[in-house]
Amino acid sequence: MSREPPLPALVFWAVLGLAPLVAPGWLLAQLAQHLGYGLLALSLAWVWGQAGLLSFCQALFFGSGAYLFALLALGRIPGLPDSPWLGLLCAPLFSALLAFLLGLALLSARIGSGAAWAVMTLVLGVIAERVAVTSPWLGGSNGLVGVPPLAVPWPSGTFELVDPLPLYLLLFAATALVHLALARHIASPAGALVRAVRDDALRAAHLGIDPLRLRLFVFTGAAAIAGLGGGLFAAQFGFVAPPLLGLGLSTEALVWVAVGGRGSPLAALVGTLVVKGVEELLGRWLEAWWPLAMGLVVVAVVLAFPAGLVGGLLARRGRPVPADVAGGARRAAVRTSS
Amino acid sequence: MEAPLLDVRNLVKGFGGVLAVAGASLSLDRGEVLALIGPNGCGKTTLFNLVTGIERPDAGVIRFAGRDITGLPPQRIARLGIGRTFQVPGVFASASVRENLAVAAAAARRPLSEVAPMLAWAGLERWAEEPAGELPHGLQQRLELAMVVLQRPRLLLLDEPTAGWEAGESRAAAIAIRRLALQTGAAVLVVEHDLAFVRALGAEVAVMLRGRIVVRGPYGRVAADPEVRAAYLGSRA
Repeated sequence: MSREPPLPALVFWAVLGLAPLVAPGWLLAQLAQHLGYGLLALSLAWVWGQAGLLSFCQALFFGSGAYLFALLALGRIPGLPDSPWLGLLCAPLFSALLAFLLGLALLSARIGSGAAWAVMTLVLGVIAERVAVTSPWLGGSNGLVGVPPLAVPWPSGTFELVDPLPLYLLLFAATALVHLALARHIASPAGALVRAVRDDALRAAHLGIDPLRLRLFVFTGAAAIAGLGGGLFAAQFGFVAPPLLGLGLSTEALVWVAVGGRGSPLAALVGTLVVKGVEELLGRWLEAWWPLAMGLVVVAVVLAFPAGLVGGLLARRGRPVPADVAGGARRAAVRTSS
Repeated sequence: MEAPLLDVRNLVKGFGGVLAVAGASLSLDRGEVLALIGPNGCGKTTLFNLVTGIERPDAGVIRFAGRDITGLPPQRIARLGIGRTFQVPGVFASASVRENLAVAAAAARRPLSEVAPMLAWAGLERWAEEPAGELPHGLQQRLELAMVVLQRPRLLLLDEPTAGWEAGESRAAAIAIRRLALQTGAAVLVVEHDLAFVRALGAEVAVMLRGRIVVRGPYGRVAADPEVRAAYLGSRA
């Protein structure tokens, strides 16, 4: 079985759905931001947990979605109208296109899904951040500011989505829908094929599965999710900056997903909220020392719960959505020449 | 005359100056069962790897059902109808037995309703929800075979399917493989060291020595061949 148990997901979304009834505005705004990051975590849980592609450049797709939203909302792309909604539509598409091209180049180079792949993704993230820093069109190291928010027609004119409640509801709906779609995919035969390639690509190929095509599908789809998160981030905060593309945010996302559990999208989401929440608390208590304490907490969690805080619990409720555990022993079979 | 289902001509493959396969030729008709034997290092598994696309030959041609498949990637060869098992069972360790069969079904676009009958066919119902990696070796081999059979291949390549089995078990496996060929109409090429299994298989035997097929025929005739006796069978024949 590879489906997430439905009850924990229902409880999770029910609690978040009721939050507007009890949470103050500042907390809703914070939760909305974390749900945006949750989209980045979902994309990483898919590409890393399900497809076994450890990606150090997932923020590149988050940031590219954010930049595209900003460029379109600010009317900086010649020939296209200045429209935040068009930006939100194009953000995931652009990130997906970028991931398709980069993924095709990397996967076609037959570097596999191991260390070489991880290093190449790391390099991509660093390059993307450098490009943004040095490009005047992208605002250089300051990024782009004054990005218009999303707005909907209203009887008294237009209603801009800038207050915490509408922004929270938008992020809640987007993240919940993406989670639902991803959970359904993971439980489907297509999801099983993705895990088969992760566990043993050569064996999967002998069953007629095309590993390159499946990995490219996941890498591209996951980038679209990250791009949507980036577009919503830009709509929420009204600015974009090079760190949104870079290694720092990609590594943070890896921590969220590792702490929650990469084998399950729900675990990745909870991991994001937990880590961001603990960061806030430690920041208040320990001031400048909080990153050190956070690092120790992360190391302790990863050592004590290899499947993640939530991934381990979900695994006990049923069969886990398994993380990469396939042995290399099977591959030895084909290396053995008789 | 109908072309052979599998037609391997003058296949050559070297690794760093060592010729693992040195001009091997072999053909197999529809529904035919053939045992491929030979001493360790004679090139049997490399021949399988060439036929299934893991390795590209340096020279020679492989035709399947009249089509040149030389150098095609493994997934395209599998989709044409060539199934393979490995010496170390190639199951997906973290997935359950049922999931492994579901993957095989999905990959071959077979309905998932075929998974349950295949579990019964392989006698794996008891372990259906167990992680495949935790099964004993013999059960993993059975699962791997069931995964391949579920895909309805036209040619089945079995690489030492009874390695590590008791003599009685291997004879039963030989009978099961013959029955499988009859039931499915698939041709079967089996690499095997266990001569009791090969005898029980009751099929033609091809002997591979130093990267070439040197003799082929009924077990009795092959066993009497002086070159084979000297190089491989020796006093065990």
